[in-house]
Amino acid sequence: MTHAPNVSQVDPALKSELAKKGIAVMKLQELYNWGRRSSIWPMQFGLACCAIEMIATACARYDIDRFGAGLFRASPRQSDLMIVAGTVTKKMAPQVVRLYNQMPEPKYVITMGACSISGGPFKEGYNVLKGIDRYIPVDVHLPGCPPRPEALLHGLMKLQAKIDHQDIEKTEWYQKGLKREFPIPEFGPNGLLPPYNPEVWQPQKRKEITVPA
Amino acid sequence: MFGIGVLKGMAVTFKNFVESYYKKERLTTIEYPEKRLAEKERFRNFPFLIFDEKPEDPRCVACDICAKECPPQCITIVRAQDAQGKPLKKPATFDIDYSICMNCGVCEEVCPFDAIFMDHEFELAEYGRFEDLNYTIDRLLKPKEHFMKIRPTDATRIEAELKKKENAKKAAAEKAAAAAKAKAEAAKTQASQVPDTKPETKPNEPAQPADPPAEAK
Amino acid sequence: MKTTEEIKTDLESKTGTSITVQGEALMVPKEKLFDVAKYLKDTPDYQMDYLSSVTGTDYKDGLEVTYHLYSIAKKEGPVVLKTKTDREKGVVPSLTPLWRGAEFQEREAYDLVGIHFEGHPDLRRILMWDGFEHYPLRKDYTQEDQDRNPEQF
Repeated sequence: MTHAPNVSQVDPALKSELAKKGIAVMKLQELYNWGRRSSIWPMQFGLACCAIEMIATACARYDIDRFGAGLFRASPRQSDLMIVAGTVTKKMAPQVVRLYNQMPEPKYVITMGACSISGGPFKEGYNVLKGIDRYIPVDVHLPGCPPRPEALLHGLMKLQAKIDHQDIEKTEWYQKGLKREFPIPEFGPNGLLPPYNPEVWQPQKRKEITVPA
Repeated sequence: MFGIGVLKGMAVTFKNFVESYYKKERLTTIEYPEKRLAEKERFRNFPFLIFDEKPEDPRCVACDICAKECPPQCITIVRAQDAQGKPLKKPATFDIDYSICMNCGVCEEVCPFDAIFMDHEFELAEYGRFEDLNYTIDRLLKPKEHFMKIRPTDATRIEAELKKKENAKKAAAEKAAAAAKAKAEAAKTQASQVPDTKPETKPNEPAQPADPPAEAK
Repeated sequence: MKTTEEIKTDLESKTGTSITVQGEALMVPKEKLFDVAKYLKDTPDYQMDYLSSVTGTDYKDGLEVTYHLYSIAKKEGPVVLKTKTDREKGVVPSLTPLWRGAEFQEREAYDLVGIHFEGHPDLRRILMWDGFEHYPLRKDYTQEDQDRNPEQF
C-alpha cells in the first residue's frame, strides 16, 4: 500500500481516530479498487526479446510478486492483464486479438517495448505490425528497447494508479449488453484487412511543422 | 542410485533456504521503488539535448546528421529561420519519437557538435502514445550540469575538448587580428613614404605607359 | 582443398557444362545444376554432404539462387554455386532430392523472391501467410501502408 499514492477520500483525522480503536474506514470504491490492483494477474505473453526482461522482472532481483502480479497465468480466461512484450508480426496479430477477446472483463493491456507500441526499429519490415494499438485498446505504453525491469515495474505502478481512479458507479464491465469483442483482422493479399480498427486507432498525420516566425 | 540428481538439487535448494535466514547476500531483491540500484555511468537510455547557458540557444546547430543516421528514423528536425528567411544555426523543432527510439546511441556517436547525449531516465511509461511519447524540444533540453552529474568522466573529457577548441579559435582570431593590424600598419607607413619617392617615379612614368604597349604587341 | 579455378575446370570436363567464375562463386546454368550438385556430392574427391544455405536474390537482370556447400567428412569448404533465372517464370531444379536441408530454404526463396523449384515435394509459403500475393524481397515490392519512400533503401 505504500507504493501507490493515497487516494482516500475519508477525513484522515477520523481515520486515525477510529484506527486507534481497531476500526478501518474506507469507501467501498477504495476497497474494490485496492483488491483489484493488488492482485493483477498477467498472462504469459512474451513474443520476442522484451519477454526476457519480463522474465527478469519475475525473478529474484526485481520481484514482481511484491506487487501481487507474480502469478503469470497460462490461459487468457484466468488473467486480467496482457503485457504485450515483443514485436507483433502481421501473421501473429489475429491471434493476439483473439486472445484479448477471450480475456474476461475488466482487462488491461500494457505494451512493453518499442516494437509493440509502434513497430519500433523494425517498422519498415514487410511482416511487422506497426503497433498493436491498431486493433486493441492499450492502457499503458512503456518505451524502451528493451525497457529495464524497473521500468516495467514503474509501468505497472502507473496502471495501478489508473485502476485506483476507476469509478465503481460507472463500471463499464457490468453494464447490460456489453460486448467488448474486437473484430479479428484477416489476412489480405498485401497486409491485414482491415489495416486498423477505426474505433480504436486513427492514423495520425505527421503534424504540419510550422516554423515559428 | 536412481534419482540422485534430484536429491542433490533439492539439497542445494534447502541449503539456500536455510541460509536466507541469516546470510545477507542470499536476499538479492532490490525493492523498487523504495530502493534502487546504483546507476552505472555508461548506462544508455533515451537521448537528450544539451544547452550551455540558456535554453534558447542549444549546442545543436540543426545539421540533421543524427536524423539521417538514426536507424529507425525517429528524429525530425526543422531548421530555424530569421525574419528574412535566412537559415539560422539552431533548430526550430526537434522531435524524437520515444515510441520508436531503440536506445542505440548512434545519434550521440555521430554528432559533431557534442549536442545530443544519452540520458539515464527510464521511468517513462505513459498513457497516451501520440500525445505523450513524442518528445519536442522543450522536453529534451537539459543543462550541462545534468550531463556532468550523470556521466562525470565523459562530461569532463568533452568539456576539456570544447575548451581546447575554443582556446584554439581564440588564439587563431587573435593571430588574424594581429596580422591584420600589422598589415594596416605597413600600408600606413608605405603611404607615408610615397611622397618621398615621387620625384624618382617621375622619369619612370613615361617609361611605364610605353612598356605596356610594347608588351601588348 | 582445390581452388575455385581447379574446381571449375574439373566440373567442366566431367559434366560438360560451361561455368563462369564470379569472385569465389561458380555460375552454373540451371539445366545442369542438378548434375553438378550430384557430382559434387557423390565423388569421393569432394564429398560435399552439407548444404548450409540456399538464398534467393533479386538483381536487375533476373533472379539468382546461391548455394553454399561444405564437406563435413573431409572438413573442407565452402564451395559456392550460383544459378540465374529470369523474373517472370523463374524455374530452377530443386536440390531437395540430394540434400534434405534444402527443403525449407527453397520454400523461403520461393516465398520471399518468387523462384519456383521444380521437383520440390511441398512448395508453399513458409514465412508469410498462404493468401499473400506478392514477393516481399523483390526490389519493386511496396507495402500497403508504406511509411518511407522505397527508393530510400
